[in-house]
Amino acid sequence: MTLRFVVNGKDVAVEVEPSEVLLDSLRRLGYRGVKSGCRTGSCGTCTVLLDGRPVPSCTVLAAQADGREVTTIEGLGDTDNPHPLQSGFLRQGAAQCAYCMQGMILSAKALLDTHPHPTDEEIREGISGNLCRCTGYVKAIEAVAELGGTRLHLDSSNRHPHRNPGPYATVGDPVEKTEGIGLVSGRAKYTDDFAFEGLLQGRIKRSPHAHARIVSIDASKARALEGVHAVLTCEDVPRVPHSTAGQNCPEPSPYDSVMLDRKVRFVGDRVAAVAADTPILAKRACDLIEVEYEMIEPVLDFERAMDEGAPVIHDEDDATGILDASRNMAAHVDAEVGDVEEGFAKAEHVFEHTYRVQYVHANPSEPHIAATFLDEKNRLVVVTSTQVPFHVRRIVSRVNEIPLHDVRVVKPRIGGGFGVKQEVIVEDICAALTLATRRPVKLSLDRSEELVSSRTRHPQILKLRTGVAADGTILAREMRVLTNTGAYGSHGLTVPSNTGSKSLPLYRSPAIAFSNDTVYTNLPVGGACRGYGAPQGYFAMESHSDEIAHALGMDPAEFRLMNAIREGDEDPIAEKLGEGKEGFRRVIQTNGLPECWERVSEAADWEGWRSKLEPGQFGTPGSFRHSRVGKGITFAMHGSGIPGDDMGAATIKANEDGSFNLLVGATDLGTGSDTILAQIASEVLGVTPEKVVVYSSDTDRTPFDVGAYASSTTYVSGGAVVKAAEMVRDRLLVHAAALLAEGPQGLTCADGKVTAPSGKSVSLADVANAAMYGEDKEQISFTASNVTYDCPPPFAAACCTVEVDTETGRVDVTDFVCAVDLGFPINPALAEGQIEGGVLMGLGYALSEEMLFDGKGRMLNDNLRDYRVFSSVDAPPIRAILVRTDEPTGPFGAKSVSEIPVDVVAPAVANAIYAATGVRLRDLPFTPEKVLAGIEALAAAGGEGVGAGGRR
Amino acid sequence: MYEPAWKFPTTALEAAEILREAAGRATPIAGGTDLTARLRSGDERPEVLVDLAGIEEFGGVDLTPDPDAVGQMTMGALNTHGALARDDLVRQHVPLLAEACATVGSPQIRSRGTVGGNVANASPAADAAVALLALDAAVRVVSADDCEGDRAGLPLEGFFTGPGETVLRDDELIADISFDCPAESARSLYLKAGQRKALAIAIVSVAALYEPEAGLVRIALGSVAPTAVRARDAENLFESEWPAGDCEAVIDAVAARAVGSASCIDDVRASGRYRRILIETLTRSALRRLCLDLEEDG
Ligand SMILES: Cc1cc2nc3c(=O)[nH]c(=O)nc-3n(C[C@H](O)[C@H](O)[C@H](O)COP(=O)(O)OP(=O)(O)OC[C@H]3O[C@@H](n4cnc5c(N)ncnc54)[C@H](O)[C@@H]3O)c2cc1C
Ligand code: FES
Ligand code: FES
Repeated sequence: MTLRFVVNGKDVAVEVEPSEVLLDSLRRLGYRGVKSGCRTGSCGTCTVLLDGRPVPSCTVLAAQADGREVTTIEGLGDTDNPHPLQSGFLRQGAAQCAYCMQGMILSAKALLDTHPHPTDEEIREGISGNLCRCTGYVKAIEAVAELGGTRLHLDSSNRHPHRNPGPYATVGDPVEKTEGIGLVSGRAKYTDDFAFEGLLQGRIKRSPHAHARIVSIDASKARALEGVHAVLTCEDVPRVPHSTAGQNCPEPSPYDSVMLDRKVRFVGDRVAAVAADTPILAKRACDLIEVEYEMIEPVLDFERAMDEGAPVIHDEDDATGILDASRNMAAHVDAEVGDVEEGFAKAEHVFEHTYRVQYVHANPSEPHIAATFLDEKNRLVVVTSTQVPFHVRRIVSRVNEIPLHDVRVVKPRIGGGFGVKQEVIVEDICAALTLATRRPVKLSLDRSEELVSSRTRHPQILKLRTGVAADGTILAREMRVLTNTGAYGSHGLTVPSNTGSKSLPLYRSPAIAFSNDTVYTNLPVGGACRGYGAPQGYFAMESHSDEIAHALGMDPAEFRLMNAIREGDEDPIAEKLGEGKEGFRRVIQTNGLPECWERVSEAADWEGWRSKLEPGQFGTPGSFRHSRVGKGITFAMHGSGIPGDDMGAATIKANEDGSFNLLVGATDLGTGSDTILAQIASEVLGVTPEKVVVYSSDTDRTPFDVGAYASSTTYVSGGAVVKAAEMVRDRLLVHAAALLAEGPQGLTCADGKVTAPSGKSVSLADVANAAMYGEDKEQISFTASNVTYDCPPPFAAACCTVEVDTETGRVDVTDFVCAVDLGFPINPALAEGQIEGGVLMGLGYALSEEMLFDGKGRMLNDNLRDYRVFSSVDAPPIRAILVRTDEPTGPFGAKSVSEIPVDVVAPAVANAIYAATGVRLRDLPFTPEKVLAGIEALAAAGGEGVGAGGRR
Repeated sequence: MYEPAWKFPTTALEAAEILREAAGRATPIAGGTDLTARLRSGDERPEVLVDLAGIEEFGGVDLTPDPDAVGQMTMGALNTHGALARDDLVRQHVPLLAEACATVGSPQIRSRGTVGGNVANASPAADAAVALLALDAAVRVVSADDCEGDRAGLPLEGFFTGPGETVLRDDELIADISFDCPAESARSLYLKAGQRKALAIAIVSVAALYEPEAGLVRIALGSVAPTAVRARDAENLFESEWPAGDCEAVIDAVAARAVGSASCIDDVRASGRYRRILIETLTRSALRRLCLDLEEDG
């Protein structure tokens, strides 16, 4: 049928399918700023204005838009002529991956059209249908408020509220992201935005059973369907056991996955793959594949996985690196320093508590997607939303048994990753479909597949035992962990290693023991997820710290401060507990923890609040009769890259106009690392950041980088950029010396020119031009790599304020303050954004997110309505504080910032709920139902706290 | 390939005739927020989709004055949640309904989802429907045989027969929904416990209305039974006990009685047990705020 409507002021007529949704019609028409995130009306990425009102275009049938007026983000403004909202979002640093932002900006536009001067509440409400996973909504709200004139900036000459804290020209500045307005005007290209001639749609047929052997597969009906170009089963693809984790090489995790297997190990596991002309055909073909299963009893309770007689999940004989497949044990980690038993014997008190953490999902706004094709030389090109392009190249080549040099991986813009895209779970099979059909194939996961079949944060049970002296000094500590890696062991060794190695060093203790067992179950697969094991460890350890402090009658802050690791201390377990193997010695050279705490304590009025409490009293009165307010705190440390493993490289080449190309393998997944690396290069080279043109993550064209994980990009890849920039600069100075007839000793490079001690100077453009066209011609270009063994920890302190409804158990976080010692903040606006977003993700972990399964291992809430990430109206005000230290090993003193904010949240919430009510919750998440049960149990036991008094 | 035929009627009669003709093979579509999900999943594949958007007589909000009372409010089925939440008449006379509509989904969902669709879709969690139930609303149903509507005033109570099921026949349409506006002195409130504050389907919702002069309350509950329900026993208890004696104790008893009207189940959003607790606490909070003016009740 023909649809006639007005798009961005233009009359448009287009043929549409009668059952097509507006989202698809608009994207086909080229309005690629309309993004698909869930296709169920629940995320808002597809928002457009229909007759001026925001609507989810995935939930409007194209036919319903007939005769109406549609505005997409492209209609608001573009690079040449941006709408004030677009420039405001960019200026405030509101956009990270920006996948959600095109829709959010339209919602904001609709709001301002009806409410030109909205309050903060109205703004939150106005954008509440646009779920953002990267940010804490803070900067978006700022941007709208600023435009609505409801934010007064005292210093209007200051373009940005942040100030450069340092002695540098560009590092330390909140410069706008290098992508510019393109990022918020629909121009930035994500994988789905590339058009390919003759493109086929890939789809994976997935297992409906948690544990079964495939007796037979009959794909004949699917193959016979017109428009179906390939159906792949385990018969048709190479069988190469591998780890899907994009880690070091060889990967430390077990090689327990193959592209397609004869066995399915969780509901949602791969069974077969299809390439067809359209998504609908691909789905039909999947439905037509007939599979006969022989059912095996599933292992769903991870505490039972190692039991004698439990069904064996990995009984294949070609897997390697599994610790003990017969007992479903994927991996084991052990480390001990000092003598814990001796420590416990000497201790005045020994505390022991057990904590549990649930399955959650990173849930990036853009689900996994890859497109593959053969180029004119028949090389396989993989365009993919990944954090680890070089690992993708290696694994795709190995698994498909094609030479590595025949594979090129390109990372376009990514709609968020958070670790879940540190995994090769679509590229291998998409490539196989291209190899089979010789045609371009696109394979994307829908939201349900993303939640069920990609990767999750590992559930764990953590037992903590701590011996303390009478004054509270820690004498011995033990952490024993059981980790559920689900059906496959990707990251199954290293994530739990980090549970211990990231958290245990925070407090001094003469004796520390850590052990972990990782088991398989017939449930979704654990993987990397922002924080990488540390949020689990910190939830346990920092809840435990609070429990100990309260038992000893100490101020929780005092107990922490007296035991915390200090500058100059050696990290006690870094050497014993590395990345799934022995690590490297590490001495703490910078530690801003005391300042973090001081500033958090002041901002959150910790002392003032505590002084209101009578001894033994829980909670202060809240805003209504049956509510109680409490504050809880947490400390944390993390890492900056993986010592000895992580390597980043950068190439910089000089152009004749004094500009530079910076080529990096580092992967900007929305965090802004391209911008930060450009700032670093420009600082060394003495130019403004615009003079540094960044090109990142293309395995044919950029140098290697392990990728974006382990909080490594600024620290590790940034270090490589410094080195390469210094080499380029030194070379330029040689040419400058010739022009100036002075130096090169004593020449400096700043403000776009080279200056001699005499005061004589020459512009960088002249120098570069001379290098390229003058006497001694050369292309100045250097590549440097960087590996470090220090990987210094950032530190953080946080205070969470909650108001608990003691009748319903609902917990409202009313304030969250988080200070991070991130070394030197290269870009304070982006750093704050990392903290705000990390905190919000942590709040979901603490309060609302949980993957739920039925008795057959099927996920019950595989959609964004029931898998609850925080919306703008759920999000509290998040106050990020940057604490500067000057880390001698980091580029310009920088450490890392992106993961540590997640670590501090869940325990802070747990401790705040305890402070408010006397209820100690040791299993995440704290749903209202659980909180209420805690309150009731406390009342029934006649315990102190509001359980007894609060309910009337 | 699913290729429904589209019809774009501009009058109720035209639409109703299309439905009669199609004899069960056609489905009306308003905002499409519920229906598109079922079309996508393949749960529903009507041969004909009848777009109601062009039917002007299904729009508008009117107040018919009545010398003895506030009057009767009638709202066309096509009013969106967003429109009702913003509507001055609605906000003035039935804040309960405006509040309920304002809790639906997100701004995006509210600019598409209609009140007629909310009622026709018959979800036990439907926010507008729960509010309308407390208002003793009636549904005007039209069909090709009966365009004036013998079935003009189908009470909403009794309209729902199960989750997703109503007394509506294949060939019938909801034209509008109406109710007598509560007395000027009446006070009303909509409380919804969801899993978050936006994009949340109710775990339990309570629509409560208090008429001080008549000394009665009306209470409707969402997400606690196969359909939205009225807590009649609780209302009756209130009527017989109020305002004698200890008002707080009466409210406690009424709130406890409301639980009896529910048949709660465990699902992915909450357990039945927790739902029962919520019915009691939300009802109590609502009544304390409405009848005792205890605004500090959360
Ligand atoms: C992400 C999301 C969140 C949501 N959140 C909420 C929420 O919080 N609270 C809530 O109550 N609802 C919620 N909903 C559900 C939905 O928005 C409402 O039920 C909406 O009111 C349905 O109206 P509609 O016009 O979109 O109906 P449609 O989808 O067009 O129709 C729904 C059904 O009603 C029938 N129908 C529609 N109009 C008529 C009529 N006039 N006569 C006869 N039959 C008719 C259709 O044939 C169809 O069977 C949500 C939906 C989504 C997608
Ligand atoms: S894609 Fe439309 S709301 Fe998520
Ligand atoms: S910036 Fe919002 S999801 Fe990435």
